[in-house]
Amino acid sequence: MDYGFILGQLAKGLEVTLELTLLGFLGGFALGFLLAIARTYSGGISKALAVAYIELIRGTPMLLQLYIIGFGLPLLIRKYLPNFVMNPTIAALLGIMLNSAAYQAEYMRGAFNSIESGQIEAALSLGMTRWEIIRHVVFPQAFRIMLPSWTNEMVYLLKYSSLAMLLAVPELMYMASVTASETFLYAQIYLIVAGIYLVFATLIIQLMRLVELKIHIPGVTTIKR
Amino acid sequence: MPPTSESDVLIIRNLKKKFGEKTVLNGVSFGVKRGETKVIIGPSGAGKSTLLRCINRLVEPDEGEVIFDGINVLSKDVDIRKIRARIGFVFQHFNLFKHLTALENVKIGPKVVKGLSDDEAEKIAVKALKAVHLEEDAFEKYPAELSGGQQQRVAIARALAMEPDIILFDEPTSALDPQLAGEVLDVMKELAKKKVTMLVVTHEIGFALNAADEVLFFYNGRIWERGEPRELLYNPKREETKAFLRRIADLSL
Repeated sequence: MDYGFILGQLAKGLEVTLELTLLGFLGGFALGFLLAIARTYSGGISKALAVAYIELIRGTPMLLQLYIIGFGLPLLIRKYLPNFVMNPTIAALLGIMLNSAAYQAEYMRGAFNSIESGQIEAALSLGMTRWEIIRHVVFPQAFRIMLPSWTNEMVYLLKYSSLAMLLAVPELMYMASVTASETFLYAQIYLIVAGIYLVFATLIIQLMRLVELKIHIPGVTTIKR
Repeated sequence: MPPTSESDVLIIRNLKKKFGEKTVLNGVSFGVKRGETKVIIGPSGAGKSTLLRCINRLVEPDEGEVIFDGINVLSKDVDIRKIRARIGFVFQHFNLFKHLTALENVKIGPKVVKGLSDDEAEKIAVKALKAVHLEEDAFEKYPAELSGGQQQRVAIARALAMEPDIILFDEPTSALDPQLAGEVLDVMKELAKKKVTMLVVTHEIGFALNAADEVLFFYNGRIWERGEPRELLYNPKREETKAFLRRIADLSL
């Protein structure tokens, strides 16, 4: 069998996996940021909604969430739009974003809460608004404090985006399993795939390490060389 | 009524605050004139810090009035941020923004709150840092790289850069060892000479003697005794004032 063909198929899968990871992470960040703000700084209904959302996502398996979005949601939408067809990649991406948002919100909440109240009082005393304080005082520090958790989250998404294969999304694991069953080279293909995950996970870890070093500020983060 | 007048930039009337069952401020009234340095002394738990925090509403008082430059600070219609921008606050633990250099810490107020351009804010910040005698090689350092004395001087510069009508100091030297406290107190004495309006909570009797126009002795949430620094510190009338000053004197021996 031609390894060129196999590697070509795996490259296509890798591209989708990287898309799911990167876009899932960014979407999760945007939504997670809002959830963290709501949970940390608001009260009443918006805080309650944020808490309920975060606990719902954290308390159920991501695979189940992907099934609900990939198979359940289209049924619901078809009641109003009978011809609606859900693109599995879009469904998986949505699921990964919604899932990652809950975790990222919690990382951010932890980082927000680690900024001492004295700095907030100083910012209030200068006459800053709540939003100015979040933007100019809390976030720049929280961002640095949570980089290690972010590295974890990215590596996690890289690997667990493979659950999307169960929605028939043509990501790396899906392409591997399809190509393996066509070629019967199961062991070879899965070993290559393991290597690919390992290389990209290491790449993410090293890249984030560089970012950590680059934006390190003494007193905000500690770096052990 | 205590002596307050139209020239007072700050007037406190009958201020009261309870935390749970504990009464922290029990009817405090006084005024601060423009250019005046007023010093508050008294034992811990007498309500001194709470008083300062009530003035810019970091803490909401239960009763009483705070009039700043003719504006009723406690009124619901007041935009408290506009008031806070005109009242400097210097904290015991400095509370500098840790992710910003000394210069950036001082720039951020004029830039973000007053909306000045980067250049204008920088000019003001450099001037303020020079006024507190911060060494030029420390301008670009982060708070964690500065000594406690330098940090507190940056914090004073941060307040000065807003060109406030009054600066409130909450035990500004209590977290510093004597040598570093000295450099901070020197800066504060200079400000007093320059007629910067200051309300200072401190245990530094020397500063009170040197720089204060009036000293208030707080006890049990009230102004227990007040007067000219020499009069109050050398010839206190009330027992509690005498006992407190004796304790402070013992500590400094």
